[in-house]
Amino acid sequence: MSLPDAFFLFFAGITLGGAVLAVTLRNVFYNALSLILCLAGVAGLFVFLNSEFLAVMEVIIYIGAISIAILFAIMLSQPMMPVKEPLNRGKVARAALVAGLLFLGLSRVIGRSQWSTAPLEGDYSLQGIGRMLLGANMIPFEVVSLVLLVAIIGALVLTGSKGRG
Amino acid sequence: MSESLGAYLFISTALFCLGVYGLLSRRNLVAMLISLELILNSASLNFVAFNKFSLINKAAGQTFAVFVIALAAAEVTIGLSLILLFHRKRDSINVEDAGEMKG
Amino acid sequence: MTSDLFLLWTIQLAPLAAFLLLFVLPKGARRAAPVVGMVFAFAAAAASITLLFSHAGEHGGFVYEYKTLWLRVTEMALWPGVVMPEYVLSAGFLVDPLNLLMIAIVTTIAFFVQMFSYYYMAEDPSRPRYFAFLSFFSFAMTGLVLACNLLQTFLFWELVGLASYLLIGFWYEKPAAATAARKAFVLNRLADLGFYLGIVFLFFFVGTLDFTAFRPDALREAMGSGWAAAVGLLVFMGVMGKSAQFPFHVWLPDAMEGPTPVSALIHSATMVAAGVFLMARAFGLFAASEAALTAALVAGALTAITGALLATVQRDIKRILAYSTVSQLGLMVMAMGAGSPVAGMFHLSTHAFFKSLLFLTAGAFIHRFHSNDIWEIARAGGKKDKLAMAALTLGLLSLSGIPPLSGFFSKDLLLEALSERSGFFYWIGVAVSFLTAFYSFRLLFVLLFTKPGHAPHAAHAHAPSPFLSACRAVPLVSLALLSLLIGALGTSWGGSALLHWLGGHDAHLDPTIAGTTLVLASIAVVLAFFKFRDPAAAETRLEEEGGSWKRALQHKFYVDDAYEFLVKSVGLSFAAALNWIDKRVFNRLFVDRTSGAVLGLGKLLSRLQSGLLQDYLSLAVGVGIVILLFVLKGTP
Repeated sequence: MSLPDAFFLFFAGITLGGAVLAVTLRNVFYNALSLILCLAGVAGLFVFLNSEFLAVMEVIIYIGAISIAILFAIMLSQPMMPVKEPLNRGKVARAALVAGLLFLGLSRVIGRSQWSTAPLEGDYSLQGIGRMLLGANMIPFEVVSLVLLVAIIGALVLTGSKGRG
Repeated sequence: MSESLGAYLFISTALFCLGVYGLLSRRNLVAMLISLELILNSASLNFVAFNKFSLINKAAGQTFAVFVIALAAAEVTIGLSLILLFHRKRDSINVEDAGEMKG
Repeated sequence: MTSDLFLLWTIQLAPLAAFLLLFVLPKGARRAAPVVGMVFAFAAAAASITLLFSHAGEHGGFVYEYKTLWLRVTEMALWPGVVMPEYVLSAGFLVDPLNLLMIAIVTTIAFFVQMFSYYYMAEDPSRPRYFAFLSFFSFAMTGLVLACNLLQTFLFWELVGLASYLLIGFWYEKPAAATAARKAFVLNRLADLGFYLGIVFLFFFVGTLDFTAFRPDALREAMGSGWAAAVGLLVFMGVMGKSAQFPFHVWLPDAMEGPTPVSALIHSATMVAAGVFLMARAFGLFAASEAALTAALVAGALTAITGALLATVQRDIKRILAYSTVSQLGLMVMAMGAGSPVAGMFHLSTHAFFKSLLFLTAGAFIHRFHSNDIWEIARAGGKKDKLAMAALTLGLLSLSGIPPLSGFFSKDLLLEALSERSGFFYWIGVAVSFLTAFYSFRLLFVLLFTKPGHAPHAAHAHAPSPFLSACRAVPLVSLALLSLLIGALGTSWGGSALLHWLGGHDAHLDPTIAGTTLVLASIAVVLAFFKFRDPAAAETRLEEEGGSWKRALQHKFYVDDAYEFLVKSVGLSFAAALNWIDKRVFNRLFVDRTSGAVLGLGKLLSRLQSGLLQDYLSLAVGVGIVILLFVLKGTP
């Protein structure tokens, strides 16, 4: 096996492993940390797909902001000593069944489909992304910034403390 | 193997199904949010994988993935605010305590 | 014959127009209500007489039908091998001697009753309603008479029953009137059940209900003698209800709660005669089976005797006349049962005139002396009213069958028909004639011989206006004259015109029969004279307790009590049993199970709505997977 493949397997492994841990561990704090692991793996996979900018974005935003926010929420809503969430066997079985069937179905679909191929070479550069963002996809870009603004204001409104005048 | 589309699709499908599993099996609201993040990630991984193997304009898939990340951020913001509100009201972040639409 | 059709429509619709007009009459025009009623009644009467005379020259036995096809079912095979007749229903008018005679009688008496009502109801505040209902009755009655098939007759039969209900219960604030109206209607409906069943079976077997198709041999062939008898008996049940035959007679005396002109029109001359008229009209149907005719004979006999006996102990002048009507109707039905529709119809015609005359006379007395009781009227000076007394005497003589009045000739023909059929029933008829003379002269003698004295009610305070007096007098005089005329037409001096008209032979007086009746009538008069020479003593005798026979008479032979027992004990307990079955059995078996199942299903389905997010999500994803699988199956 070549070195790139080994690295690929490594990153795929920590992605899937982190994901598995993120959904199965009973302590929600561990779940958040596993999520960070998984996201790191995804960032690595992005590098394999020639999207370095996206990998960096993943790390900065997802791991650096979103996961931290999740950790904040966990801290604010849990007592100091972590609580183990009890296991509900019925629910787990049902969820496993549904997810398993879904996986089987989707993989079957994917396996049977003919995906169109294109040359692997092209302009993966940041300038290309920038040109798209400020050119053809200008409106979605502006809308997304609006969405972010609304989200910030919404979060402030929803959770603003009552005493503020 | 790193040059085959199939591997990436396998990973993203697995991520998606793990996210669905987590969404359906956890009681803790924050854990459900985490599973939701997994699902979103699988989507952006899909975008970028197809971007390399099936698209001509190599910036399109990446742009979409950027959008996904931005929207995920917005969604987590609001989601966590709602969870905090819920926690204030009921002092619990158990999704089964939100069952007032029963019947 | 377009003039015929025009006259027919006039006769039919003029009363209806009066009815409708009187309902839309504005408050200010209330005084005009009787005029409206009278004008349209006159139009109908004039049209009938014109129609009668326009056909007078023809030989008897003509039949004209003005009808349209209404329903037709052909070639219907219920099951293989059975050929069903063709089913045809029509609607329209029938014109033949019987109809023309009847319609002339009905509309003429209706007109005179409307005129008398002007006088009688002069102070009643609900006059428009009264005249409206009276006109409605005329409409229904003319429809009944002119109908060309049995179903149409039945339709108007029911409408006539409705009109009777409305008119008996005219003074509905009186509980007695309301009860009497209900009693009449319910008893009629009960009897009409049989009537309707008879129509259904008849139609089923024969395929048509037109009167022209009622020939005894044809009907017997189409239905078989068993069914012919059944149908005849069932239709006769309707006759029993409408014409107050025993035991359905109990409504007629109670119907006297209505205004007296109503009694004159409906309960003496026209509506109660409708049953007898039907027997004549559909005589072929009854003649098709011996059983029906015998039933008519027996029922008529019972009715005649019962009515006559009960009339001898009544105080109320209207009740005397009511029981007398019951008895006379019994005689008519007997005549029909004996196989002679001519005799029955002749007696119907004479009876119509003299009975309505008698009722209007009673109305004259009642209105003037404010009482129904014969002793009270007499004490208030009844015999001083010359016109009323003259009319009363004429009517009573006719009723008793004294020559040369009309009642004598018609009763004679009737008894002759009975004697031809059976000696037993002939003697019953003779006995009834005896009783008739007795109670008639009882009434007369009480009025004549009572010494006028202290009157509990003052006589009518003011004399009525000349017009009202005319309205009072003209009908009385006219009906008296007509009653004489009709009688004359049935005798050889009148050329037996009426009898020929109805399809009978020349009139002849059988000396034996005539002699017997005259002798017995004289005996009855003498007996009544001695018994009622001193009316005051007779009154005390009436009031005191008597033996079981007297009690039976006072309780009207316990027929009403029998009805009450049947309804209360039998009917109500049956209803209670059915109620129990409905609640315990049917509810448990069907209703509760069904509702339980539905509720259970609902509860089951509501479990889907657990309120838990993850349940809903699992369901959604599950459905998505199912769709995915379906898509997968489709693709190669």
